[in-house]
Amino acid sequence: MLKPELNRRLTEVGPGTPGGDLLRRYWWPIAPSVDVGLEPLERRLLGEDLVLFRTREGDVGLLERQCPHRLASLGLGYVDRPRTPEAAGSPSGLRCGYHGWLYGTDGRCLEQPGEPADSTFKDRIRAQSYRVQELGGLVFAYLGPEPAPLLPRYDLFVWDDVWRDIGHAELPCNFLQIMENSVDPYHVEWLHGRYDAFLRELSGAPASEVLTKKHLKVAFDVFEHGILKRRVLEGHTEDDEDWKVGHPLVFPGMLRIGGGGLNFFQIRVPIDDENTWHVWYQTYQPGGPVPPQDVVPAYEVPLYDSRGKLLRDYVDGQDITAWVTQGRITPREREHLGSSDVGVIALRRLFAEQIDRVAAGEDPLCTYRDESTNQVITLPQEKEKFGGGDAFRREFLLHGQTRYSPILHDVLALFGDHDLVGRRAVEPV
Amino acid sequence: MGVRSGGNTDVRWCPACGSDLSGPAGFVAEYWKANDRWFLTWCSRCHTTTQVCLPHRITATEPEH
Repeated sequence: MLKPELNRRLTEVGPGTPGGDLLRRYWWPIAPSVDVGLEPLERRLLGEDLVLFRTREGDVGLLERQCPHRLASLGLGYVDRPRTPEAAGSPSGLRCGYHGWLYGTDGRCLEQPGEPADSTFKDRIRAQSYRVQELGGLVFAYLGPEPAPLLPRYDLFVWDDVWRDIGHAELPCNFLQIMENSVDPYHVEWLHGRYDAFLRELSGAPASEVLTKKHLKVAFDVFEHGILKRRVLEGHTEDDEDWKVGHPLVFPGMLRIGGGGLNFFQIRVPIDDENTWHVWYQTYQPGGPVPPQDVVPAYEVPLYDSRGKLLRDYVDGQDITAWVTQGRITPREREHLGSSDVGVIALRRLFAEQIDRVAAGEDPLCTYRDESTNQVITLPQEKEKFGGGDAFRREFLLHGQTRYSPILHDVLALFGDHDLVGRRAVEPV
Repeated sequence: MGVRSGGNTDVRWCPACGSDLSGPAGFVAEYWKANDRWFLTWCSRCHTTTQVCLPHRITATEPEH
């Protein structure tokens, strides 16, 4: 249970709020690179409405959504080259579709077609622009104060000899309740184990052996990347990797998980107080060289079935259903936590502490400013998850949201899981 | 023993430095272990994390004698 005012402090993400000030100190994914082209994308991040586009020269720009002229959305705009002799040769920018004002990626107004040719009015107009960088098939944005920290080069974003794909979905709930799920190991054996077994029983399929194992012990260590989560499952010991290595919640918005050559991030990007863009960033690493990918493909993960009910017949759908049904913002003054929720409390305490650090003018956890420590940030993560990495991979490829991946069957073939190739992805494993 | 309704944490002061934890930056999270109410606190002034127990019953183990 938390006081309502503390709950607000931990869940507000907008500008001028303590939580929003903390979250603005980080780079956030804003779109898959493959989706960013000449046609602008309207995006919302940390309660701010934005527009994202790629120039004809290949640069990515991120501007406030409203055109400073008459406040129409620049999502109505298009990428265009300057047309005045004065601006000839300048790079292309985003032209507002309403009256043709043209903006560069830095927000400078380059042209105002309706104004006199000798007018200097455009020189006094600037759209708010934000920093963007591309890494590993994602476009990242930074909305915080200068000097911006480095975009962290976490291992999965920069590894060689892997395939990647990116699933994503907009979830109608606050980001914090999603992050809390990542320090709640017990939910795995219940939600993905017993509840899932119940659904499989109804459809006549056998229960998963991977996800129904009982938790004997869990632990949470606050460390340099966030919180390291460890567990001992029934039939296992502290010598198993689930305890010896564990896997991390990477502060403030990411989970690292995997096994058997399937390693992924779940990135929880706050859209605003009541919505989160959830990104599943997969890497597939069978060992040894793999054929290069031209682009990192992206796909949307559906939330609802044909009857409008939240899908829950697979691991991520079960998580999503739990998160969304907790409410847009979990009313934590009404909850009743037990001793199995200490990981959740540890995460809330960490957020409170980091909010305070930012308010005191310090850099929060996971801020990188030294290039030499940001070449590749290697995160700890067990490989033999739940006692068997290959079994974990086979379970998750067909029974996780990767079932919607456009390259799923190629991935199965890449790992030699030929018995699963051609199997319907929605079929229980 | 009934579970109290939310909104009343009972723990207001930092056990380490005595600062008021009822303000917006004070962190107090309640949870239960069997019949005992526990509070994890974090103080933005002294940066100390503590756990406070409001026990249902005080128990002691008598050593061999």
